[in-house]
Amino acid sequence: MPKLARFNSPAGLTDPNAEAWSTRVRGILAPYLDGTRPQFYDPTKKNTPANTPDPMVSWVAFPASLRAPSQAERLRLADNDRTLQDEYCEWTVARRGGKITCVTFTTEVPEYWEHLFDTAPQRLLQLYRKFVHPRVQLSDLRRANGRYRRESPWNTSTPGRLMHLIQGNNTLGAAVDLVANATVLRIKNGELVTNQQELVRCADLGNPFRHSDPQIASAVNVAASQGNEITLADPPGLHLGRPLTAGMVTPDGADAAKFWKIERGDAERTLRARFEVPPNRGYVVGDIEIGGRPVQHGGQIAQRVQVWVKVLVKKGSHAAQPRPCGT
Amino acid sequence: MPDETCMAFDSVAPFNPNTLHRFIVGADPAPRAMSLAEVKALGDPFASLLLARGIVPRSGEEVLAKIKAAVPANSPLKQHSSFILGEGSQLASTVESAAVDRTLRFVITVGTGPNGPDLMLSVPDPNQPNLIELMAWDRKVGGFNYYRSTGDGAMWMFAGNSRDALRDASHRKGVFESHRSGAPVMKELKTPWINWHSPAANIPDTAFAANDPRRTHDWFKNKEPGGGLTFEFQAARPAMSRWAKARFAKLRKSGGTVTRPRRFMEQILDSPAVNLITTHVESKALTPTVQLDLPTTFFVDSEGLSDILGLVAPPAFTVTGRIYAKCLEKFNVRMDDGDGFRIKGDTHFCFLVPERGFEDQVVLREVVEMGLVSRRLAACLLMVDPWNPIFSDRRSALLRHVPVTATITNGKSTFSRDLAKTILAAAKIAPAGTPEKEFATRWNTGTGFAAAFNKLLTGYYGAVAAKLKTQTGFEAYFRLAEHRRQEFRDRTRLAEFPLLLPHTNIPAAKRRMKQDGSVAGG
Repeated sequence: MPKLARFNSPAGLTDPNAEAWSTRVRGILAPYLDGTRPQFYDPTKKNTPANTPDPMVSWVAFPASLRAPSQAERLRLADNDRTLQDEYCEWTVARRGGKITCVTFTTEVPEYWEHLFDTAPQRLLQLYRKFVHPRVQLSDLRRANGRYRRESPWNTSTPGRLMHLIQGNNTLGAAVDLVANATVLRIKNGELVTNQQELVRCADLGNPFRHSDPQIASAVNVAASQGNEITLADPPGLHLGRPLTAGMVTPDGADAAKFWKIERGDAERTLRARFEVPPNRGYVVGDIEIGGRPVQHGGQIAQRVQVWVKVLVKKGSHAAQPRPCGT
Repeated sequence: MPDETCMAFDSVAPFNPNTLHRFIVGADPAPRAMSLAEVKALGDPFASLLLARGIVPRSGEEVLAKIKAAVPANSPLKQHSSFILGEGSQLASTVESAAVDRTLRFVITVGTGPNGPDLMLSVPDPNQPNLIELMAWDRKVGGFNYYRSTGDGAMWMFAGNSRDALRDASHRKGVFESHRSGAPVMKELKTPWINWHSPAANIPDTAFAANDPRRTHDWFKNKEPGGGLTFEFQAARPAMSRWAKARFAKLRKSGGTVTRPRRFMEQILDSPAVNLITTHVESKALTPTVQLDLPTTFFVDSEGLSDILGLVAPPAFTVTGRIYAKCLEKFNVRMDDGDGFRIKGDTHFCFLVPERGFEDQVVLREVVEMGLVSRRLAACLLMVDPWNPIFSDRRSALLRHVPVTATITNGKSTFSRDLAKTILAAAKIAPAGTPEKEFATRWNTGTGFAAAFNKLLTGYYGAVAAKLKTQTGFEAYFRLAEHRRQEFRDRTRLAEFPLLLPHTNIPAAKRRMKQDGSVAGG
């Protein structure tokens, strides 16, 4: 593959202003292409040979670093506060009569919604009305300075339906920063740092006790240690895997895998999906049991949902130039 | 004395590799050829799709290829997932570790569905003919059928069905030495799945030698990205639940007589199955201020008492990295492969300890739900020596009172009442301090037992939390952990690999946790 003509929109969704999105992504990558990270590259500026491997890096959607006195409390806290959902995946829960009816997951980065606001505000509004609430107004989504309001009341509540990621670390910029900086090898006490948490701490790559940061950093760093060049696979973004539904017990014996409905993207690159039982079955998500207990928290599903990103690993011959921790 | 361990398969005399042999260790003195009718009677996909049709795969790779070739395009058996694990998988690639046997092996699952895969196999190399461990769900009789291959030509043996794990002749023998209740085993069941490739710890290709063909094999290159996570939720837990449901299905549906109630009571009162669990902190990432999330199941059977029986859940138990690091130094903690490789420090994730096996918890849930064991009886039994959630001789001593049979009719059973009565009668004449007396105290709290038990547990949790704040308090727990690891080595056949457990300078001694959070036994 020669140079990528442009970055595609998330999951390859149709976007009449795709060039503008690509420019925005280039802008996110640009600060990391100053020569200090020679193994990170922009595929729109450098060739990527055909058949370049693009391994998948995956992790669990439920926040690993969330601590609480008990598992039930962890689940409750995570459900009730999007700022705690820091694994590049957020979810909201809809209930009826106290029982969960629907859990909606998203990995859509806020940068893309800013792009939509800037280039196609009516399209943005349509999407909000379709996926969040028909009463959303464009003015609700505009800040006083005229810019896009990521954290409008329509997209911050935890009950109901969310639109896109809002947690401070759940951005494309953060993912790019992590991948770019993880291409730098690290050395400590004369030995290459290879363990995930140790690497994150050594290179200041985020929270060592999250699922996502150590996992991405490690996969990138191992590839870099073999002299390769690395970047995010196109279209750049975070994606949802299907939930691990084996062992979920449904009242009618149905396979709970059927209840995962993709709302944006496709089976290969899912950006948004909901876990909901079709009405004709006569029961709801809250009637499904996991490990003998009914689903009472969206987090119980989130513990079984994986988030993933793909990185391009272009064959290279960079000599290892490890840097000490903290530099 | 014949070898009745799981090693028995590796010392059998050569036999015709084109014929499936039955070798249920303990029940069969030696492998014997199975007739075609016997093979056809096996209701699992390995037997019915391959062996019964005269197709004998000679490697794990062939098993997979031939199963897929034998089923239509839309069959769930067309789907497979590969996983990899190894006790030395996280060792840094250095000159010192170059020759270490990392015991890397693949686990392959075939088929998908709400009950997990229909077939699983484990083998170090996709192409090797021997040491293939295979289990496949028998749709005719329920339970997993276990198979083993041995020899250069892959001589296959049928090693028994899950139900054979419960029969006196084969109980804890052969494959059932580790599959004690007949369920599949995933030792490192829970996050962070130490030793498994997982989101918490990748196994990179550098874990293989540069010239190792497995490094570029499809099973490795296209391994399941979720690794241990995916195996836990899509395979191990559903498979254990599937067997537990099948085991009790008939009793649930139409009632009847349980001929060996001791088998399921062992799973409640003793610790036949064991999982290994750790904190989420890498030992190399240990810093003085980090809070290690100690497994709650080290301190209390939170799954049985809280998750299943609804008693008060424990708080998060933590210790600082400063205290933990001092223990590593003081107790000279190291990894040792027994073959010249020695490295200072802990397992990849800190504080590896045994906990009660999930398969035993599933059985507890089953027998409580079906009314065979009342919630009150289960709680009173588990509240005997609850400070020692695993390997409690006090609790297992109560097995002597389990009646030889039990009946259940329309979801009602006298088993709980009878067992409680027997223990209470024994308690009347037993000296103070016996488990029978302790049980009687618990039972006498009456039907409102939960409040009293919660008070006891809450007091204990507070005592433990206080001890965890001090160096001496935690050192006692560190010694207790070493004792439990030793028990794990001695009691199970699961400590197969030298890099599984850390080594310390802590002298062997019988140690027990006490109600006040202190540890008896030094």
